[in-house]
Amino acid sequence: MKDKLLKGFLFFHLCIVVLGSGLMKFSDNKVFDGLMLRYSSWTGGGFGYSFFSPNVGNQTVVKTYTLIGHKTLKQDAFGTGRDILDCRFSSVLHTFRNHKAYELMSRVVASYIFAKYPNAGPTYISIGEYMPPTMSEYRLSRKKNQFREICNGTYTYK
Amino acid sequence: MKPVTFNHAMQLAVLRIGVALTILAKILVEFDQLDMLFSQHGIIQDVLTKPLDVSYALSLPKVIEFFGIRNEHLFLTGLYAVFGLAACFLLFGLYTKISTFICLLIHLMVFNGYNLLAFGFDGFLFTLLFYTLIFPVQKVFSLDQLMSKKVQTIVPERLNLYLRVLQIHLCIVYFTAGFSKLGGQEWMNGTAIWQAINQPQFYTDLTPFVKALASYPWVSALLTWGTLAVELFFPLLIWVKWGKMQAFVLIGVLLMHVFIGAAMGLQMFAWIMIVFDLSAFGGILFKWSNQLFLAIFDRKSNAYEEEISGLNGCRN
Repeated sequence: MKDKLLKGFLFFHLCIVVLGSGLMKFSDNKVFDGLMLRYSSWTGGGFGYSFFSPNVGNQTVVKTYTLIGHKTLKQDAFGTGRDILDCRFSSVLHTFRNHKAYELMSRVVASYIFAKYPNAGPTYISIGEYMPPTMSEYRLSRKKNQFREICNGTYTYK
Repeated sequence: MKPVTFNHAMQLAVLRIGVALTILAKILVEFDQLDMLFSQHGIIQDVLTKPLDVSYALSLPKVIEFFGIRNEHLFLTGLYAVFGLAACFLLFGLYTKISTFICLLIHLMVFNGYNLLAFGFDGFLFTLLFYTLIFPVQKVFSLDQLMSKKVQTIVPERLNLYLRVLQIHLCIVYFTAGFSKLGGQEWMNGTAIWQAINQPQFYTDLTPFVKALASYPWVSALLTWGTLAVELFFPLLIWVKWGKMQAFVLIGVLLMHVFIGAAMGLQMFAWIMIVFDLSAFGGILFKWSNQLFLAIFDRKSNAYEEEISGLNGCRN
């Protein structure tokens, strides 16, 4: 009996893994999605595995230019994989690709900048992506990636 | 007859030790940044977590709110200290089940509370922690097993069932990853790897070298289609018992993860996938197991070795 229960549970678990993997689109039913989310939030089964698909695309990067004490311009970048904080921040940036989310994230970045530089003046925040050169351009001249701005804003403390 | 079961039981030890090392590495890189990552004053604040909060999941913000914790810094530091201690116990297999439960509980609280910050790596750690909890990993290569007064056994059929679950899950992961790329233009025209290594997020010391190589279209195409082929055909070829096919396929997929870790800087993701690969199919490669430290099997049935070697898809 115990053996059958175990087998039954593991079979059920693997079914959830298949259903949640994104391999097949079964339903847009909210009840179904809710059940899947409930199960995965306790067992870790039922996540999607579609990494870098259908395309790799360009990752979003946030650049900030902050005026410190009316004379020094400090430049920072987020989403460049510098450390774990930056990597995880990138993950948020890539989750939402719309103007409202960019604006919200700009505010979060601005609050981080003002905490980092207590005497900061205005900070210009630029959200964009790096466009790679073509392979032949890189081979010929080691051409660098070009930054293409998607959204920007200027923020001040107070 | 070869003692094939020891190779396969070793896979459970790989699962436990691999997961424990992953948690310790995660703690090491995150410990200095806990406030920025997982507090309400960090990069993910109420404004983002509240709308995404769900009632059924246990999450860190919910625990903090429920207990009215004011000093989040102290709480997070304490929580990660417990996480680290439990991972050390898990590593050596001491109070294995309790330490796994503590690790799983802390990881799921963080994961559910801050899943906006989560990578694929976190999801796989969650999955493997769950398997570590329900599989008898304490019976292999552990202090629990050495200190136990009773003889601990793993029924061969059960061991086979556990390994089969890991194997099928891994095959689903690779096939889904490969299948979902099939419609992608970059994957089809062979430029996906060029595109990936050009992202600033994946810059490493090896990037200039890999970029110089991948700037030749045929190299980029080879790497791109090679990745696609490994992901799509791994779930089929890993079961083919022909010559050294299984070992060749397993080493191929391990090398792909080593490349991802070294050239794209995704070391944590690469590591957890290597742990998953070896937990599921490592028996193909483990020929050197030290029987003294391994589980004591139920040897009532003389056929168990054949049964396991035949069923779990590993050639010995």
